[in-house]
Amino acid sequence: MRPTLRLTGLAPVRMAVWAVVAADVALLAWVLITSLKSTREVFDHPWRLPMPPTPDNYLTALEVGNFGRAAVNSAVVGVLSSLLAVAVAAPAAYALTRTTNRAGRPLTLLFALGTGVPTQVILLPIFLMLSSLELTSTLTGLTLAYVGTAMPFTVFLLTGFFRSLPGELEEAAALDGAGVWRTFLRIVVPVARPGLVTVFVLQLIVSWNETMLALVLMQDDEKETLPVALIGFAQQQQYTGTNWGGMFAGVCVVVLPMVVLFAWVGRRVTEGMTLGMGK
Amino acid sequence: MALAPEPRPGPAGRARQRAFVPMAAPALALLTVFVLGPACYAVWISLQQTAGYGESRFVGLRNYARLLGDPVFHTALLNTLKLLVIGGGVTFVTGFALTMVLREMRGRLVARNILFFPNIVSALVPAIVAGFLFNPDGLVNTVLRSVFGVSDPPKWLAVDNTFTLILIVAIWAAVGYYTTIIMAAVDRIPAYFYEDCALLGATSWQRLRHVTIPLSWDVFSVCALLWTISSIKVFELVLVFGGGTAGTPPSSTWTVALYSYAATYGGSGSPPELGMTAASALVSLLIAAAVVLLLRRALDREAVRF
Amino acid sequence: MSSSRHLPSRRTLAGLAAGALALGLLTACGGGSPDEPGKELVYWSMWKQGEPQQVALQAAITRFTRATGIKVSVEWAGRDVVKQKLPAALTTSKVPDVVDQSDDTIRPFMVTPGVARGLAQVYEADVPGEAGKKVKDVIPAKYLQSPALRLPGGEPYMVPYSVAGIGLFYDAATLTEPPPTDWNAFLALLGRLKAAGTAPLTADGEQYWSDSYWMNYYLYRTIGADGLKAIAEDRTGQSWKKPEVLAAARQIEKFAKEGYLLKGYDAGKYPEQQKNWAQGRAAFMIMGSWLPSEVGSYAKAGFRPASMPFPEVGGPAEGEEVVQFGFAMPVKAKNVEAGERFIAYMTTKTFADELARTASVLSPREDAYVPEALAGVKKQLDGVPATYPFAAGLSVPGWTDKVYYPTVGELFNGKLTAQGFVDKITAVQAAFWKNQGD
Repeated sequence: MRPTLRLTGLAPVRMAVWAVVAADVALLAWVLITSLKSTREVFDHPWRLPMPPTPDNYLTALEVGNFGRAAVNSAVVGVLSSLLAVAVAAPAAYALTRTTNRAGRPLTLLFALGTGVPTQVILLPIFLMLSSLELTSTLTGLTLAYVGTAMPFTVFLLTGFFRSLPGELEEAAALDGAGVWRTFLRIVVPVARPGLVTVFVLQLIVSWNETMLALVLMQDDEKETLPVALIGFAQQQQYTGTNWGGMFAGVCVVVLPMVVLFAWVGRRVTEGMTLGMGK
Repeated sequence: MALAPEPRPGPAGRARQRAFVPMAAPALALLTVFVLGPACYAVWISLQQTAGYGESRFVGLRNYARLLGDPVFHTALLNTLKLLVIGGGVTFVTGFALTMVLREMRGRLVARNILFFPNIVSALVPAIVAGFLFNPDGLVNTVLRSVFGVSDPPKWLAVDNTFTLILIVAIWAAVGYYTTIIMAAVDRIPAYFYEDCALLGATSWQRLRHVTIPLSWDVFSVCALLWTISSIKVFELVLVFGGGTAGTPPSSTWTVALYSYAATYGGSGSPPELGMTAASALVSLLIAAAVVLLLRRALDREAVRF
Repeated sequence: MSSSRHLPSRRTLAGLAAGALALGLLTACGGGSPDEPGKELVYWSMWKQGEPQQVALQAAITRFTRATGIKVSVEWAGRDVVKQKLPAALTTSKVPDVVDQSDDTIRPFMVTPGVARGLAQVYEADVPGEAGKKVKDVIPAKYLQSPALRLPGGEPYMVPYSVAGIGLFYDAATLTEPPPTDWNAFLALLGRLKAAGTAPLTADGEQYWSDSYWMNYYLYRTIGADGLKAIAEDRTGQSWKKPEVLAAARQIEKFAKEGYLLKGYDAGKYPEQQKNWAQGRAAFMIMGSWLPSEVGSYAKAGFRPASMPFPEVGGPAEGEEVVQFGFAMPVKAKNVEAGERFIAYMTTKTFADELARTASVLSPREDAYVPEALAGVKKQLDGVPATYPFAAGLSVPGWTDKVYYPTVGELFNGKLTAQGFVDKITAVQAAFWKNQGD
């Protein structure tokens, strides 16, 4: 419920906020519009509407730039890895918050510190591991790598989350003689759903945009993900000159699904994000 | 701090506790295999001089010594700290302020969701857009010249200003992210607190100080932690802003993460030095850990319940 | 409230995971039928689908397979092929047989770590379809002898299929007079351009590597490429105090401070200045011969790129800096013979012509087609006794990015005087070497 107090003199600040919001929207709109222009038009008239708008860039991106297949790869790997990450992290986070074992706190801290490990450092060992299992250039291998590297952030976020859940529900279940797993799956998870959805979406966003692991682990063109395909376009800048229109089309293919996803579930995500951070 | 159920005494309780082990095991296993193990491997590599393939030579702490003596690394450290402290400060102050402002606004959810948007696009987008907006004949200068009569606009994209631009873009994305969080946290503060304030005739500043901030402190400290770690890892933004995807950015704009990257992939004509990559990455991890510990000490307060 | 229905049950998730694993294993083991040895090879290219070089290469690959029956599995991997993909692959057994990149990328990533194979055999092979010619006969000595192509032991590790020289590019449609040959005449021309209101020069100020071409070339002409290498390797940094360096720095200071460079050259982002040059706002740009093809899609109507060599500055001018693009093979390559045959096949005149025509590049072959925009560079390279890579193949990790480029960049962007440059780079280099240890 909003308080009845009104903070006076806020009109200019409110306008400033709406200005920033408008700028964000304008940014997205500009990228979209520019993706419908030819490269020459992009440079000659960057701020005008395309005359006429041309879908050529998207065709180039889809066929030559391999964006169609890359999008499928990204979707499969993203959804699978995020689902698996939540499925593995949730029980772990729950256990870490409910255990009386003294190892509970330091282990949670370990997960938290794990978020600070930069990708370029663990890139080569992960590659070595996966290649010894013949899992490089496979969607499975990449999915595994994403699930593994998702552990620090997802578990950390979810521990905060589970810690804030009131214990009465579980008390009641324990009195009824329910085991730990049953309590978890039937009582805790449904209540924790907003947090789980949040973590799923956040992880999906991360894996959709992840570049380094995908570049090194996927040697085949067929197995490229979207960020790798996009880099392919951007790198043509060197020696052959960028296909700017194509690159903008590529950016849109990468960005728009995320924007749509966020517009759809954004509210749930942002609500869920804070539920875990209090207390 | 525990709202969790009391641990049950006796064999039933012990059985419960034992059941927690398989629940946590897969995640722990994955963490070890994909994060902790490779991090240990990185420690080993940081003591070598190697390209990762071909020959390798054990050099002990030489890489660390070279890091400490490298003026480029010092600049990178400074830049990283600027990002962490200035970026964090501006982000959180703006975040709180925005939260206060947005609370009273109609369409606040739409606004908040749109403000979040920079976090879901690749860093390429602001880099390219900045190139078009701020170049000498770009939109910003055109507007400045025609509308405001500024004849000699500043050199927005000069190398000297690149890091400032990077900082601004990082803050822009972070404000969206953390405002979202803070706003949702503040939203959960029950209204009767504010009604009491109104009754007592408190100013908005007093309301902020005595109600809003204390009751969202927990959330804020988690955010501070998250920001610390993510700001130290900032890398793609610097790469794309300073150098495009084909070149290495000027060394004055490097952060520690970019220093690590350049040691392996980015140097002009330089063979990869994985040892330096690992050493610089471990140094950044140490800094992150140190700041996190400091923050925990500084921000640790008795949780205020309501 | 049985909302547990909405979340996938553990069983479903396990099923999904198992399915994914199965799918992955299937695709990983699928592979392809094992061919007889010697009848297949794996080639990872620096070009991406759709780039003109890729089009020409693909056509040649098809012809090669038809002619020899050797199947080529090619990955159009992009510019990171030798920097990121190959190093990772080298830690496994799935190593490509042939890769390509520029020599200044292959040397740090393959030659220095010792994983580049010597290709002397290829040079002794016959060029298919050209009677009596071996590969070493069609690649001129000036490219072959360059340190760009040599392993430490002297054997060549790369066979080039395109070479890029550095020239001063301009629009022949606007600048119709014959280009000046010596520095004073060049400065006079620049002065006239300035007076007439056209910016004489431009460069992307923040791309230090391109700014440094002016310094590189001035020094090549006055102290030679080996001279620059020697200066870089001097641990005290005092060799920077040579008079030739000061002279070069003075010229660059003049450009930066006396308005020779297009206004805003230091306030934009790549490729802003290339665009400005291609749209006629500046007259000259010093760049590698890839410039005309890079600006093709946004040059102004009627733009006719041409180039002139670096003007004479009265030094012992010898040789040209050249970037060579070509094929190399990792030591661990499995299909060595097939790879060598493939590379030899790519030295034919047919391919050289096709590549030059499609991608607008220069072939190392003297008899290949020369695109009109690069006629100037070709002339510049004809009859030159030697070519070399940047600083004669200097291989000091970090020197370029930490000592040379930033300081030259500051000079070029008007932040240092000529003397200030000399003093600063001496100090920076000394500190750099001190930190390197032994």
